[in-house]
Amino acid sequence: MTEQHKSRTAASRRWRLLAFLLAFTLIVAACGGDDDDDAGGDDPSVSGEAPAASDDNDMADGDMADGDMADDDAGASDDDSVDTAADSGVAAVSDCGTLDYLGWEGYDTFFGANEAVLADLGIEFNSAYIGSGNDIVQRFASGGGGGLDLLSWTTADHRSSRSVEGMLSPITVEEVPNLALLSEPFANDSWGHFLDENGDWLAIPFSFAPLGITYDSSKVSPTSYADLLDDDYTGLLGVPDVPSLHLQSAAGALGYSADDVTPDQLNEIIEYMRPLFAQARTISPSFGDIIGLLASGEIVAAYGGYPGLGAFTENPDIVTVFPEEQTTGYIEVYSIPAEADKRECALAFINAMLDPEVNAAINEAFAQATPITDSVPLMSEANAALYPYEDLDSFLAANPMSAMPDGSNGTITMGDFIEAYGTLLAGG
Amino acid sequence: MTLSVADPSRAATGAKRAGRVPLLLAGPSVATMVVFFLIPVVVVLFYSFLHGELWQVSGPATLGNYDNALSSPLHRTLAWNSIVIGLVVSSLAVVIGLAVAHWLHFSAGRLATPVLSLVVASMFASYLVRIYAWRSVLGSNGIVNTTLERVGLIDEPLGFLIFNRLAVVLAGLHITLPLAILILYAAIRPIRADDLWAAEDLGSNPVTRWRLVVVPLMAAPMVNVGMLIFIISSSDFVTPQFLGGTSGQLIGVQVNRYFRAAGDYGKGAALVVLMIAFYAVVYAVLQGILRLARVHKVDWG
Repeated sequence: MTEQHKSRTAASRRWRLLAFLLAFTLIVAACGGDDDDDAGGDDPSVSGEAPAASDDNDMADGDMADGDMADDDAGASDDDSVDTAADSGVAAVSDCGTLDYLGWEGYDTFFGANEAVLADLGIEFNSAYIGSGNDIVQRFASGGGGGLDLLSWTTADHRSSRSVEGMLSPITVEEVPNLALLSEPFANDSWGHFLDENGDWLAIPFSFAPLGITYDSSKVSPTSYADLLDDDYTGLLGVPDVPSLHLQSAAGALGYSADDVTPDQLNEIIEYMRPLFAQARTISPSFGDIIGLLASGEIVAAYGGYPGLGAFTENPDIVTVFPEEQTTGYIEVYSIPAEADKRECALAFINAMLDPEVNAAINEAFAQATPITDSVPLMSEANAALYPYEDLDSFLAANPMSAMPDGSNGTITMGDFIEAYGTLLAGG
Repeated sequence: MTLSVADPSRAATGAKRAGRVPLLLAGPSVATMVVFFLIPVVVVLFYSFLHGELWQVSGPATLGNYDNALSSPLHRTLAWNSIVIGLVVSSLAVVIGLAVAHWLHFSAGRLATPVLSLVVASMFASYLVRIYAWRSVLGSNGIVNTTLERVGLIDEPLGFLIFNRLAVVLAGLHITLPLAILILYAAIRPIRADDLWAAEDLGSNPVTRWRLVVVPLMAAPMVNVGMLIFIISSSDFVTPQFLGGTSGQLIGVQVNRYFRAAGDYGKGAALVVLMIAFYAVVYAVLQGILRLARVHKVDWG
């Protein structure tokens, strides 16, 4: 073998090694987990699909707890809830099998806080998680919503679903009896977010949180948005890149409703936000990022935080205050698509999530507030310290929950707001 | 003994078949390009003339989205940021990538394979992890600041290291440099060491050898790699969100915001079409320059 041939062979081996490494990289990348996998697709974490609920098991036909669950000892994480569920008729839709879920990560299994309910109903989730609430409407608007059984989002995003005709399945109180347990502002749909024109439910609230200022109390102690303009916060303020949150917060602080912002009000809102954004250290892509920045000391306060954020750190100094200016908040809701294959099972799941003990447990898991009156006494001291449960009705009256403007009656559209909001992010 | 004469009709059929082979071979590539590039671009082009709202588009077709895209001061700021950051990242990636590729090919010897493996391995980490890593390096409590504080060079953390264009450039370079090295290494391998030795024997110094031998042969790959990295870095919308602060935002962030947050496909699509057109013009100009240089045998030095 000549030297040249040896050299070629060695080079060929090197190239084969390089090609192998490249191929390995591509394969690893291709096989890597992707939280955005389509619901309905193959999911190795989900076992084979169990038979769908039979007609005999139809929830609508069952005598599904006319609020009984509230009176029972339905533990969210022990076997009691199974018994309770069975007593109230939920067992009528056992063996649901796989529900195709699209929504926020965690609002399907709640870190195990609703494990007993899922076991009782025989539900396994094939979940696809969203990066923003808009992802849901976007998917349905482009015709990709088929096969989904359950959605979770916020009312702000849910309102835009009305632009997609026939997207959601209206739900009656008879189908979800635990709706009767909602506290008054939610039960009455005080903000016009949940019911359709016939009085049926398109979105069912299961959790909420008012917005405020999350800060490191060992360094600063703001009480209002105006405080954030002080020199102490210059270059040390975190701002999440969540346009709907800013519109809601700023509109609330100025005494407007984000649902019906006029062009003049939009200018006022942007000018109100401009000095706050000028104080920003950075614009964070998510609340998770905000928490990371607070924990690492990169920022001392975040404009637009919610009380539960502090619970995701081990730093007790990270707390949230509701600003002296009026604030607003977000409400987490479930909806069922009109073409859901397992509507009855989705209804049973939603009903179970409104059970007082289950609802207390799932809101503890996310450090958010419960909209169920009977859940309030069950909340931990830590959770109760975060939210104004004592005087919830008057708090919500003074700080109404808002959604998004939809361009009707001379109001702006979300696109108008995004256009103006972009100038804040680019330092304009 | 008889001489066989080829059947002219069979020969013609064979020639026809042979003529089809390149077409058949190109078929999958062409189909891939049509499905994954041409059709999406046509759809985006179509959307760019329509009114978008709440993730849907409606007529009539107008130039309103282009008017908005071109007249908005915000878009101009973001486009300028994108061009500056794209140029800096692509220039640095090409220069460093060429230097590494040259070293790997001509000087590294046995080190070449392990170093190449390391370059490939650097791409194993997730894109987001690599971006977050820069937070740990450049942040107020990051490696750079704590080291400088410990050695007494600074009393307070340097705030300008992160959440600005500098941070976006560093992360962009980190992400794209392995690509540049691998492509340029593949391109430089046909250049034989003999060519450089011959130039040396003829009296040329290292700079002249680079100017007369390496650069002319590497000009096209360098331009193409530079273009690829310019497109990747100037249209990025993830890195600016994590590291860019308010001064390092790029046009891709606004496109993402139009498509996902505002649901305005029309305005987002118009920006995308303008970006594609811009990249196409830049690419055409660069290719034109390369062609002229080849025709006129330009001395790259």
